[in-house]
Amino acid sequence: MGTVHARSLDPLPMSGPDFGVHGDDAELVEVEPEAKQEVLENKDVVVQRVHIDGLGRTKDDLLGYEIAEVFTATNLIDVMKKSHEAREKLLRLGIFRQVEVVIDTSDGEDALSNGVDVTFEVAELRRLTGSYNTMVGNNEGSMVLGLKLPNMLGRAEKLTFQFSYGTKETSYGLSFFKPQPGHFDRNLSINMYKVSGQFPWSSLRETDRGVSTEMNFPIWKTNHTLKWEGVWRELGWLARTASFAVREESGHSIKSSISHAMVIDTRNSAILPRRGALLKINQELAGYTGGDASFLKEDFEIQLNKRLFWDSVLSTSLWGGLLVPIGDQPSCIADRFYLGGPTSVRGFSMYSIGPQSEGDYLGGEAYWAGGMHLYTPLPFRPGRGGFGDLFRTHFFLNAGNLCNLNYGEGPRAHLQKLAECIRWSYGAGIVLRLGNIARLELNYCIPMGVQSGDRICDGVQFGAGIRFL
Amino acid sequence: MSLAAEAFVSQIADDQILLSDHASSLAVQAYLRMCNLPVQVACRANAEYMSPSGKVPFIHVGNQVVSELGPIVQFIKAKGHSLSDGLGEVQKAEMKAYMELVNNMLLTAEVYEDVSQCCQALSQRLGTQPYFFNKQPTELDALVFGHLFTILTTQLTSDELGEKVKNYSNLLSFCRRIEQNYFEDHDKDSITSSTSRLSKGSSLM
Repeated sequence: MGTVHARSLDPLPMSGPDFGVHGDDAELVEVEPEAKQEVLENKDVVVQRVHIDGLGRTKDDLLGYEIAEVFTATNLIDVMKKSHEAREKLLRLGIFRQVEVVIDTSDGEDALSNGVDVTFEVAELRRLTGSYNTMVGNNEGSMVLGLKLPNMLGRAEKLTFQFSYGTKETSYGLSFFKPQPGHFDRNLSINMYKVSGQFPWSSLRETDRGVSTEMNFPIWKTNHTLKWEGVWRELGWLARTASFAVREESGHSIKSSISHAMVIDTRNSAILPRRGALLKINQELAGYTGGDASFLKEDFEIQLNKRLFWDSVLSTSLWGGLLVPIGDQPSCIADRFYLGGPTSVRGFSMYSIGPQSEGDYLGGEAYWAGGMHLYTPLPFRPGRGGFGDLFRTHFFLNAGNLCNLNYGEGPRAHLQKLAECIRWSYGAGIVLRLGNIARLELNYCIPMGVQSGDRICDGVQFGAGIRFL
Repeated sequence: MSLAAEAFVSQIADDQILLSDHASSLAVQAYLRMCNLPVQVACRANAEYMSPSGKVPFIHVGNQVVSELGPIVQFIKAKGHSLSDGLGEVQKAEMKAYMELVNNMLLTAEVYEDVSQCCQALSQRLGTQPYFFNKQPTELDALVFGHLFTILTTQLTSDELGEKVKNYSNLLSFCRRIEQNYFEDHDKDSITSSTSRLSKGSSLM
């Protein structure tokens, strides 16, 4: 948070708590809004002018939307609050390195006695910025090098080039992002990418070259994404021992799909939430706009968090998905669902549940998975209020199933299929939160309901990831 | 017969196949039929990507996948079937030399002189025998059949190549013999699809 300064041109000594902006008797530096609230709230002011200093390539009309609210303020506290909000909005555009707010009494011929001017002193980001990060994905790590042209055309557009080298995936991509002026949440992006990944659980190697356009917009409390993606996929087998089923999937194909995603997230944190709920629904229709792959894919994710006694949290999640091939072609190994591993059904090896051939997991067209976790602070709470707060202990119960459905059979048979041979596991472990994006887990797992062909991880299992059951 | 499994000879879809790939597929098919092994031919657009060497054809037996004539002959020999076991050392060496010749000259069949020379050498070696090593066919016969039959039956923009082969009447009747013995009266029911494909284009009859 930046400091909010309020000062006059010729500062006078502080005259008690009554330091409004009326006439000349005003002033002071460094106002603590909370502490002086009662006093200042009574003083009516008019915001006469708002300046933005330090603009270079940024277009004025873009910023008009972000600062418009400041003019509606009617007292000093309001001015500070609205200026602060405007500052946050300006920073969110991702085009300024720094934004400072100066609130000043109005000056000049038309100055009102209770008029104030608000000045935002901004420092634009350079035309070209670079970044270097390490990232954690679901049980994989990667190194990311990025080049960014922020505010390319002056209206918060962004052109990004990213190269990522990971343990299982290597990718590069070029992306253009454009927000709607005044509504940063409504934005459009166009991406071009190449991703090469290895999936040892399926003895499969995949290289995708794709183009996508995507539109994000909020409706009420939900966030929506509409996306079209065209991708040229090249599948190959990883080792000479790859099963024939995986060999049969290899070769080139084109997928063109339109998809829609909706998210409602009221959780206070994405990684170790204390309260709130998450609902995610994703649907994808491939083949309608051309390409070799034709299917309808639906999946959802629900998570509910409830705070209990002694800072413990009960978290319940449910995932599910269905892939329905359209036409005569069977579904492709790259489109099917996978289950198992330290980030989903714990106690099983990564993606090693369900249909397989000669030890290669082929994925399934339907799945569900549920989890119940009881998170508690570390025993005896070492490092409380500091490092220790990044850790939790948890007790969990996970269950799920992954299979292929015969779509001629009807819903009753499908439910029966999904309800038999349920894999489940329980255990306990330690969770470490990494920033607000990822977490590490060290668990002792006891897998149950193991079916023949499943690969289990009985005992200690380590997991890293961004999405957890 | 110890090799109970069915073998798949995979190749790219018929209309897209390269001349040399078609010849190799046919050679493998002929070899398997000469060994009296059941063959089921499957055409896949992604056959090259399925093959362990990136080349067609390949066979799928049980959970094993083997590609190209040489390794397939070795694989089948390991399973107890061989056509060249009866040959002496000198004959084996000769057979290998001729196979090498065919591979070098016919795989790159754009060079007409090479085809001509190769045919002449083969024609002389064959003489009036039914097969290169008299009564019994070997892998060399399978290989030569694959190439010559492909050249004879594929309609190309110019007939020059086919005409070259047709100059050697003993090679022509050699091809006919293998087609009749191994692709026609040989278990008719299971190979109808591949036979119909074989006799597509200009027929030898």
